[in-house]
Amino acid sequence: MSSSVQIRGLSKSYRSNRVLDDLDLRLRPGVTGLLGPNGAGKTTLLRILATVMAPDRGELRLLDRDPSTEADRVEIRRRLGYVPQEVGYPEGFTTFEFVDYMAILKEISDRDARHAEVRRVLDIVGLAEVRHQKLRKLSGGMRRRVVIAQALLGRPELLILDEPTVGLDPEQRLRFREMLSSVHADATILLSTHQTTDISALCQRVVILDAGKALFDGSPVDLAATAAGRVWHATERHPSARVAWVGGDGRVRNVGDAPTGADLAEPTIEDAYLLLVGAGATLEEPAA
Amino acid sequence: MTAPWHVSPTQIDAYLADRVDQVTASSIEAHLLACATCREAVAERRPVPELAASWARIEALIDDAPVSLGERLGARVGVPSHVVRLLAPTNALRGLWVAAGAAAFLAAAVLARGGFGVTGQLGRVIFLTVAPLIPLAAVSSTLGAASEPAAELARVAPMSRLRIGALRAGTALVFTVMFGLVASMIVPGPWIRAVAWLCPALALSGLAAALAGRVVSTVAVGVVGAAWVGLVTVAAIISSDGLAAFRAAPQVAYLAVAVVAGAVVVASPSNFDLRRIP
Repeated sequence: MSSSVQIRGLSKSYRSNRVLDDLDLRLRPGVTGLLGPNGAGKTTLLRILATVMAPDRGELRLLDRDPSTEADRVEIRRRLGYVPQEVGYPEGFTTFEFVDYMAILKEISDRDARHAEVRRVLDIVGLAEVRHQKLRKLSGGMRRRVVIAQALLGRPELLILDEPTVGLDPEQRLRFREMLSSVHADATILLSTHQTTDISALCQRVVILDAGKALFDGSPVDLAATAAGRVWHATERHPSARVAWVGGDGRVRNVGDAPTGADLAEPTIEDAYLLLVGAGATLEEPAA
Repeated sequence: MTAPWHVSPTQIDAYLADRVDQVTASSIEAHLLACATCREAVAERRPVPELAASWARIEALIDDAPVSLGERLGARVGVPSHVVRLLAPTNALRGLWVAAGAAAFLAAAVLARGGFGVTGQLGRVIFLTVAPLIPLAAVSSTLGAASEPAAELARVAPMSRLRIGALRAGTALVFTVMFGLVASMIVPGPWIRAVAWLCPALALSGLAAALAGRVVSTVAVGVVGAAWVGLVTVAAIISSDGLAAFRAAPQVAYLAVAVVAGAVVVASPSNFDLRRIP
């Protein structure tokens, strides 16, 4: 099977700041999670894959087409769903009108078919009941779901989701996972997140990006395994620990080079991430 | 009060299948209004898929109904709903912008009539100079990422940006020209002289559209607008004729500029791609 996304030697700079550095990546149908600290190049990569911007250098093929040509780019966009990090909302539009507007931009001009599709995606994200409310009256989490809904229009083969779960409460986050599970069978989905729980719950594959390069590319289980033997419990912070914190059971969880005879703990994706990227890396969501 | 009789299951089935005459149907409906037991019986005997289908039809009717004033007006004159919705985010067609444009035309026309202490030909020159700037501003406001509220999403939409731009800019141009023509009616002098701003308006708007994707739309308005005012002033000074820029020969040149600008727009549709438009 050919890859839905093929990237070779991709680079992108903003003035002298190189954001993506000779990146190679291939994606196939399924959910791939993109982890990385702020400024790692995640959003730049996702915007390039969503055809918002072009790379400076490198080869890029999306859905077996070349996004640098006008005709191929339009064809890719017909089969693409995109959830950007930030979206402006048209003043005065209701939820239904906004998604309908996006469906028109996706060239679904037949009104009956378009409205049926709008109802379908609003139903998937659980917003059917509020579809005639003005967007400005919706909560932040609901507006985020509206953006997710528009990305599902036309059953896209490639879904690019930039921190889709930011602003969702725990229940909405679970609903999002449920929704994504129902659409991902044939689609290639790439989502960036600061939530390692999203990665373990949703992704068959995880890519860690740091300073524009892929530090890790494999399954979430393999990622956690890279921290095997380097996580241990103790009564206090150990000098060799790169990061340590007091857990709910009162014991100190140390992550780093374990001393001999340490009480080793089961490593998590979060531990492995901290060891790969560095103790200074943040996994917290930015404040809403 | 409880109704003294109930509709039989056979009658309910016949009613639901639309197999009863009008009088019987009316009688059953009148009874259902008063009898909760029979309403429940009807609800129970109505097949679920049919209920779902009815509900879906009601929902579709609500969703399909035009909501905004623009949509209702559009539907009345036969404009497809998707075209009206594409026009909805156009600033130049919104209340405040329309009012500002109309007020600018009106103020210029009042000057042309000698209002605000302006005497002689100066008022007419001001009207003819200012009038093309209003369509220019309106057309420019429809171009550029700032004109698209959900620009990041619209950037990756497959629909041709040239088509969207042409639709919005064309509608904004038609609307402002209509206001301008109404304002021209109160300008003194021959009608043909009062509308001498029309060809310059087409030329300036065309130039703004041709500059789309090359410069920021506000810069385009500034450059094209300043060039226009400079042209009128220089022509007036050189020829000692305040209306020199509005005579027949320049009008032909304005039309030629509009045609060339239109050709440039059509020849480079990628300039309307929001990736290119700042």
